[in-house]
Amino acid sequence: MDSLVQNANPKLQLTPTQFAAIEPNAYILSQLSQRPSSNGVPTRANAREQFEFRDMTVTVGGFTHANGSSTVRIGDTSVVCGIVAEQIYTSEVPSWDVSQASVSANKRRRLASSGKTLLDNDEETDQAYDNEESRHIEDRCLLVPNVTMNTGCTPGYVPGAPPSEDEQSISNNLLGLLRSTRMIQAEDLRIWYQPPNLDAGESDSSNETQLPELKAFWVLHIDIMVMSYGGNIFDAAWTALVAALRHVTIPYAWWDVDKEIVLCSDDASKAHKLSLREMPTSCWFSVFEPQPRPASQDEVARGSLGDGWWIFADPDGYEESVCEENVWCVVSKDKNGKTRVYRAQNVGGSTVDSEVMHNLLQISAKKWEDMKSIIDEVVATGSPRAVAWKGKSYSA
Amino acid sequence: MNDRRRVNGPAEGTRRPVFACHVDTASAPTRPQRQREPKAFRKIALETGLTRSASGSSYIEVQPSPPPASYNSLIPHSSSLKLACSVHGPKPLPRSAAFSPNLVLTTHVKYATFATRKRRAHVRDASERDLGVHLETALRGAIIADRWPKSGIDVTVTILEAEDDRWWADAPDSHDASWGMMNVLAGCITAASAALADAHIDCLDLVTGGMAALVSDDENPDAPPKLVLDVDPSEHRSIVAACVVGYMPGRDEITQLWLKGDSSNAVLEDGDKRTVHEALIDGAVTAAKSVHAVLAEVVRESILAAGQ
Amino acid sequence: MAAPIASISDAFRADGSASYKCPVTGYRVLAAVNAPVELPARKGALKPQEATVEVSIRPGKLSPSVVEKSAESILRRMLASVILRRHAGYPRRGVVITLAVVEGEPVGRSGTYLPLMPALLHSSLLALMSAAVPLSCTFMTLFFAVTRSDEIVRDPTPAAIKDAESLHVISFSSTGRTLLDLVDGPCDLDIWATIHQQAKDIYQGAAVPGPDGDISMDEESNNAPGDIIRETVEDRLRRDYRWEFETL
Repeated sequence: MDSLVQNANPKLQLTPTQFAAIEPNAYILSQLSQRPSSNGVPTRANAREQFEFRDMTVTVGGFTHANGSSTVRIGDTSVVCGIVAEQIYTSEVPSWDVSQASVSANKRRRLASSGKTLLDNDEETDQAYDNEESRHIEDRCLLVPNVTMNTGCTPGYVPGAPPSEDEQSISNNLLGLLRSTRMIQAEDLRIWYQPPNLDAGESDSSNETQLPELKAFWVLHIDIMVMSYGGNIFDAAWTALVAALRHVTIPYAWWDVDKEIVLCSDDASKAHKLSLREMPTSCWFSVFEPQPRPASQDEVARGSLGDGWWIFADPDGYEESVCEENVWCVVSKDKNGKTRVYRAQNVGGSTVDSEVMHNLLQISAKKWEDMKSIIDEVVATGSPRAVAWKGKSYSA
Repeated sequence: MNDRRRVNGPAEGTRRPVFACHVDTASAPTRPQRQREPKAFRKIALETGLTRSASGSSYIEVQPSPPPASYNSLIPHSSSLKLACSVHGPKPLPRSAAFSPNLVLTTHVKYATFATRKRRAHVRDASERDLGVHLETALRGAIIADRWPKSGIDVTVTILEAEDDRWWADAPDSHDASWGMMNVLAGCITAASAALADAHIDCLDLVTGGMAALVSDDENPDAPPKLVLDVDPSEHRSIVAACVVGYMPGRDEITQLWLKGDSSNAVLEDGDKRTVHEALIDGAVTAAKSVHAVLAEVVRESILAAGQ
Repeated sequence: MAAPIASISDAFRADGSASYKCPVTGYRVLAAVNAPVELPARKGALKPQEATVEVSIRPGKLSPSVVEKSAESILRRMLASVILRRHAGYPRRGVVITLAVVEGEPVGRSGTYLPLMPALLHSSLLALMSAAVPLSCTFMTLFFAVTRSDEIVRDPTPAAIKDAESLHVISFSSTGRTLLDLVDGPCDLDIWATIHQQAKDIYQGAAVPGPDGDISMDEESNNAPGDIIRETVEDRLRRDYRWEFETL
């Protein structure tokens, strides 16, 4: 492979950059075979080890008009996420009737009488309540994530053009993940009205307060803009989304009976944060195969996996353009330290089998621990301050 | 409403939250006051080369005016300009394009949805296209286009946070216009100029955006309006007229001029012999000159850093 | 378990076509393949050394939306890894696969396309073979759900899918490799591993190539989805070449 450089006509000497552009497969392979790092592990063209992730910087806040915002830089990739909360009234939903919130209304009353808040009570998960939770978020379209890449971050995406297939696919994956992780609790997005107990004076003995009415929902418009394209957009977008969700402040809102509208208080001390159930981490891996794909059935029969293959964690743009097979893992760990898989996707080739996949899921779980502490730290530091994370290498 | 290429919100649409202090006039907050001198600027942060995937890029941020002491409301007190610009090219024109002996310049300006108090749409609206055209005019006069025949260059500006058009608690009135856009345009020109320099595109000079406005803060309608530079519209009761220029100090040349507002009846302070237009343009040019100093310094530093 | 229903080469205008119905989930997919075709609109994106694969999903009654895009991208990359894109006559051209979901529960706004994956993949495979597109291998796809009580269900019903915690789709190639591995929903890593072991067992019980490369024809031993592919192709061939078989 590297004979291209050594035996070439001296007049036609290629610089490494030209070589990398003309023969990316051969270039990456020559780097892998030529540059073992200090401990003998093969190194990629970007001087990283196979399972080494890039440096990352996470900032929350900084954008005045968003209820929550964040900026994430992973290597040369940078994304900005802004979340704006708006409202939708149940009276404007054509198909809405009170029974659609009966379970949570009952639960709310029960908890109010016992003096607890709904959010303290995480253990109680009846199925009916759960179903109503997800139904409210999904049927009412309360979460609206969208990714925009045509910010001039890369020449491939024309500014002003409608979202490309990649952007649509990322937006849909974000939405699907928000659904399957059930990160956001519907209760955080509900605006209730407690009707006054008119006959309270006479019948104190009944002890039965009136059922609260669900008057409106908060809708979270989550917009992610890719400002610089350096590969692995999804991980950056997801990290930004999680950090921004942690940063979201929702004003205290109540139903004003006289004006028949929802009013909000601008008092910051009354506002609430979202209580996220989970905070999974997303990890992309690319699989590099130096051999070109076979061109005929004869070649398939001869077999062509001879030259081996490598997995690149957190691929950069150059590596992504060369690799066809990708692995995507979204995992977190529960209280007992057990790994939970939220999304796994291996498509585009035939090299990764279930054993390799298992290892990658475990690597992702280790990354989750680091990611969780970064996001916890950045949210704790509050107003715009960046928290940097030094890229590091993992093993299963 | 329903865009099949995006994730859509509720079909019924969503409402902006209404804050109680808007409805309840008794507890209305007070308007912020301009603390700076009429000729003083807010601090500007300008950086180049942040978008590695582009030939040239820049990011500009204007420090917001400080909130009054003990301001503790969820309603943002002031807005400040934050915008990113990237340049791709010079690159060959698509095969379908007609022959051009000069560099073909395309500009795009887009607000992020969360850039303003009122959420912006995903699709470009008229004001964004307007800004794009103004920016193109400003840059075209500066670029030496005949050095790249048959080539194109794309300048894209993403506005992450825009200036307010008026103070948030003000009721809409006759003085309303998109004044925030004027500041945004000045920022776009400066940022684009920095990004062009970062992309090593030959220009006559670093074209710089400057903005000035005639404001009347007085309750008395007959008092003459004052000329101020680098205006934060939320700090003034009403803006009479405003002007943005794209200016090249090296050649003392204006590449782009945008005047807005009704200045026909305005009278300048005593002793000023200039017409109102001249005063506004002079003000905007002064503003551009000051910003130019920052821009030149940033470009010089980035070139020195690249040389090492 | 009811066997899936499939037929091949029904459409006349397309180079290749197939229909596949999964009786358990109730999804029926019509697939049409045109290949190799010129793609003048995609001139800039075409690669000089290989064919470009395009997949589009037409969801039954709904208008297409963002939801289809993730599924399309998975199918495109999966099928591209099976199609011999460098085969003579294919470079610089396109393989266009259109999949219409004609029966079954539509996928909602934030829904998942995993339940449709077996039908989509098997119908595309049949249609690709019907269009005589050169393939490196065939494949079979397995579908599992894990219930709230951590029970693993193979080929779940629509009701079971709705209640399931997580869904799993795994495809094996005829050469014994994993081509596709999808998980959606919270699932313990141990259960994930169990499902993969089960999938491997089913696969190995289903289609073990003999030393001569032939697949044993034992009808009773299994009901793997791989069989339906072979049977459908055999049926069609038998029908098309009846004149020849009868003269033998």
